[in-house]
Amino acid sequence: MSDAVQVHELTRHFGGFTAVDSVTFNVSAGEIFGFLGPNGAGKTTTIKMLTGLLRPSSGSALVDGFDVAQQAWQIKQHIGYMSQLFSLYPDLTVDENIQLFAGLYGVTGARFNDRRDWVLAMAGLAEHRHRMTAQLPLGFKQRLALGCAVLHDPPILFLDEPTSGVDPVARRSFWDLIYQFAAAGTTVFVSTHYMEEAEYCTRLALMNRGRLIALDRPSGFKQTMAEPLLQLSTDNAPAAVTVLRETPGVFAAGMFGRVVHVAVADETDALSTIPQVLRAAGLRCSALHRITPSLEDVFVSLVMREGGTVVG
Amino acid sequence: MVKPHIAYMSQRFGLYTDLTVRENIDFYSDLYQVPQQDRPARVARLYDFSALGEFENRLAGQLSGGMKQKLSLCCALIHHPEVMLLDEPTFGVDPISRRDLWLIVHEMVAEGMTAMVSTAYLDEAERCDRVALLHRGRLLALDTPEALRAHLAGKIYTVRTSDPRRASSLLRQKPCVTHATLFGETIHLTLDDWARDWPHTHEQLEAHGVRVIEHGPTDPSLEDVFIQLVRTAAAGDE
Repeated sequence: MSDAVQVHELTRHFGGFTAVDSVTFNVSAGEIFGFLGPNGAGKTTTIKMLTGLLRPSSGSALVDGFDVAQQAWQIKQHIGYMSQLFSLYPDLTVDENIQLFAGLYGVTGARFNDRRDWVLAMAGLAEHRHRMTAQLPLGFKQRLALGCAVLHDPPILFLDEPTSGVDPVARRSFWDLIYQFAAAGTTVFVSTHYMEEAEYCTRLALMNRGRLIALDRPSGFKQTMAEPLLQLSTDNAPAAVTVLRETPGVFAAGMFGRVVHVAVADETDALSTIPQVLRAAGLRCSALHRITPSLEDVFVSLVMREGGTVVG
Repeated sequence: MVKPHIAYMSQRFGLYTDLTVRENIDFYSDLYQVPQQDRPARVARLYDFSALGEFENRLAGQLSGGMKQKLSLCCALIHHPEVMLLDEPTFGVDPISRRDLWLIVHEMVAEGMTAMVSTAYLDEAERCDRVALLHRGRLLALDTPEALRAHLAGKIYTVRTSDPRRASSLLRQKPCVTHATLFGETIHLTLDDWARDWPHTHEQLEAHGVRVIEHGPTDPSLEDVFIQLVRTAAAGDE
């Protein structure tokens, strides 16, 4: 497969601050590529550079073969972009929004009719085409936003937290559509904070503090978590988290329901140290054993190992 | 008068972006008439949970998304309510900050407070003691996450194949397939009767050139349970 996106040592400074620091990766055509990272990690800046909205300070990126620094205009014609803050006009009807985006993308004549009908069918909006967009349920708005983003049939689609706030059933039908696009050869680039969504991707990139710190398939991510993950049951889990976060040999500790997930440097050491540390703090350790990490556990542990997040 | 006894935090909480962190907290203390003598200890405690203390003088509008949500929660908790109503509290918050928010909620629950949390994400729901599943105004289920998952225990299989997208579209055409959901490279599959239906399903995949690499039962997620319940309810409506 050819590469739809090629990023080489891409860097962006804002004054003395390096928002994106020498990031390199490729995305194959037809891939669903997930882009993860805490707030402030540099995801949005990277996406802005890849969509031709922001010039890189150094390094290079090719999107569908076009250079982001030199050919920003061509890039905009070859990508679709949809964000959680839909760019739809709420006081226009469904049809009018489609017309507006068609005009922006230069989709006209017979091709416009074809594409409009295709979008209405794909989004299940044929019978709602004369409704005000503001009056549509969120799941419909989301599919309309997706339809408007792909009116010009772009080979690459950027989705920025596409399903924030929609219910699980609507989310699944949205992802069914995404899989159809990918199967037809569209490359999909998704940024998300939700691991449920990350699980739908074929490959994931994790950014922190401007750098790319991991790049793998979701199953690979879970297998390559370097630190053993322990699950702890205790009488006061929040207090245990506070104690464990100050304990040497503990990379990360967080609540998961009533239990605590603890990423540690060494399993054998931790199995003997943790009960002692808790006992010294007046807490009970009723169970402590190793578990298979979830994607969220891996995410948190990688970020913490790389120096934590930028707070503020 | 219920308001003095509850805390309410929505995904778009009413923080004043042109006030500092401390000014927002003071404002909500005034609004909820928190006695002056109680304020220093409560603020210190909330700073302790949230690590907001070092940003005390920063304008709320200049905080990151995660910090804003933490400040919202602190403002909602300043009057020591008995019940917290949190409406999608982690909307747009990254996983690291989300853990911190949940830690604050658990600290409060450990002190006897009750938390009611709404969320569209079922991995968040897994963190709750009990879960109510609502769909179209109706309560579909109400139980612990473990009990809800037990409904589907042994019914969901993961199937890895050489061509997951083709496999899922083939599977969806078969009448014996209740659900086939693609998750990146694997498929979550529910059949009417696994022992009866898997052999011919498997054969058919191979006949279409899709190789089955591995398959086996998997623990159902709450999302699997939710989707199943919604579809069953929808089938009952028809």
